Amino acid sequence: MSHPNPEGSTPPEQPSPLQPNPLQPSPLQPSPLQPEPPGPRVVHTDGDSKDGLVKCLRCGATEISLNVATGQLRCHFCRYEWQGEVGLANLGLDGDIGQLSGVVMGSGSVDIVPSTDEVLTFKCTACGAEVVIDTAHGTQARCHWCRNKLSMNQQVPNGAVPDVVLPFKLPKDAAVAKIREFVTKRKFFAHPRFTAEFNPENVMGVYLPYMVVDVNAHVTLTGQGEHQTRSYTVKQGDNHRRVYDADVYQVVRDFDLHVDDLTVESSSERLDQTAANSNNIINSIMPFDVENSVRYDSNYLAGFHSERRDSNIDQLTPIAHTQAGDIARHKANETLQFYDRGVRWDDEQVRVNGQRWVSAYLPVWLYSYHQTKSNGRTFLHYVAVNARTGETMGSVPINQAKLLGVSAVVQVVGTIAGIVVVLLGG
Amino acid sequence: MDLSVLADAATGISFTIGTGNGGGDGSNFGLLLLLAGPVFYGLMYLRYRNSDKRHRHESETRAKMHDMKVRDDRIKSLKGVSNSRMRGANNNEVRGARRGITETLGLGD
Repeated sequence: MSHPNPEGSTPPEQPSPLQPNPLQPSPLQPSPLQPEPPGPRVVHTDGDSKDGLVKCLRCGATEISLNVATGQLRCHFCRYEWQGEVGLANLGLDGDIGQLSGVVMGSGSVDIVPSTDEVLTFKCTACGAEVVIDTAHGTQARCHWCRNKLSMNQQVPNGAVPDVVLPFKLPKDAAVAKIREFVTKRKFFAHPRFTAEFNPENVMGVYLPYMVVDVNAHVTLTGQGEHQTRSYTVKQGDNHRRVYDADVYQVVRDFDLHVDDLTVESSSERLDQTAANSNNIINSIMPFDVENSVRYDSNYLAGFHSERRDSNIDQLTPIAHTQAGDIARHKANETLQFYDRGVRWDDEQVRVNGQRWVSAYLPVWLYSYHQTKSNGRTFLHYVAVNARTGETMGSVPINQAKLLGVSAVVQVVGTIAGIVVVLLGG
Repeated sequence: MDLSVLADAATGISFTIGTGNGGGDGSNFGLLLLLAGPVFYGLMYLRYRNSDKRHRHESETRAKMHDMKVRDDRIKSLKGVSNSRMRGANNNEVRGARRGITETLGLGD
């Protein structure tokens, strides 16, 4: 709706044409707060799950893993394939966001109890031997006596078993090709040692832990917006200067906001995104199609690595709510095209009426490279591929000497060209 | 020496020049050429290291607005202001990025 006009545009008088739904005098009053529910409502997502032997539905073998090509679980013995249970909808964790009230969470998202063991012992239901599963690195182990595979599917409060898992969809070959393409485009200034050691075949499939959050919020934004009415030049001494005329409006936007599947890292290591690491690379390959998650089954993790959740909802709530505020501000921009000079919100109220938390393992192909710099410091570079969408991002070590040398040449050429331009322009 | 600060600063300079407030397009281009080295370094650094990349949660997350109520009341007119953008406009601000601008500029603790 912005239409800068040198002759001056006709500003909207009262009421503004931008008001498809004129504000009633009363609705802006903050509605009375809903009584806070007594506590979070926990939806049990491991109801009939069992630990131990998970057998092929047809032949009873325990050699089961994901067939990435079909997205189904496959028995390695008889090749039978079957589809895991669809996650969010069947578990009652995908309902109408507008009806959300208080805190709802999957039982795989409950707080981690610090004293809970990471290493758990299970009795093999085939032979009776005791088998240890190190939940820091996976939820399966092979019985060393009878060779059967044992799975851990029941949730214990140590963050190892989430509510849902989003299976790998992009095969390893495709991930390798994407990483190779990404790095090949950045070879000229790449560190020679990295180029020599680059081997994308070493990519690892990793299930990383996330919290998926639905938010039902009421948002009231109050501030001022400016609409340009005229743009022209004025003479000041020997120079001409461009100036603008604008109308200033008092602006209010009041609405309900339904945020669907906001995704936040729930590993403290991945949450730590500073200049000292390249975790922002893994952050940047989001979003995932979380709506296609399936109920957690350890067999989806067979052949892949996994990282355990170590952050609780309390720790992640400030991040999720701040991001919901960002989403509110950006969604409101859809109604602010008239204010072509911008809007300054002086008061922002984002009242979260309901929120739903689901813990999930999401699939990432990860190529890592540990660089040791000349000063002895080390830096871990990642090239990451979203194993659902194929989105690829990475950090490639730089040959600083080469880049500085070429930059110096560019500077010399630029300086000469700049002097010519300034002289001719003057 | 970690030159990421130089890279980000140089990129910042190029953005500032690119979005400068009117007037003297020729002199801006000349200034850009005089800073060609740092700008080139910054752009290449970001192309290889991608230290500025992040998930755009504010636009890439599904969200819907319902029951929108609006108020737009004109309160005054401004004449002859020199800025092409409103002073203090924050409707595009992002506060929930995991790595803030301080970190991007290498100024954090």
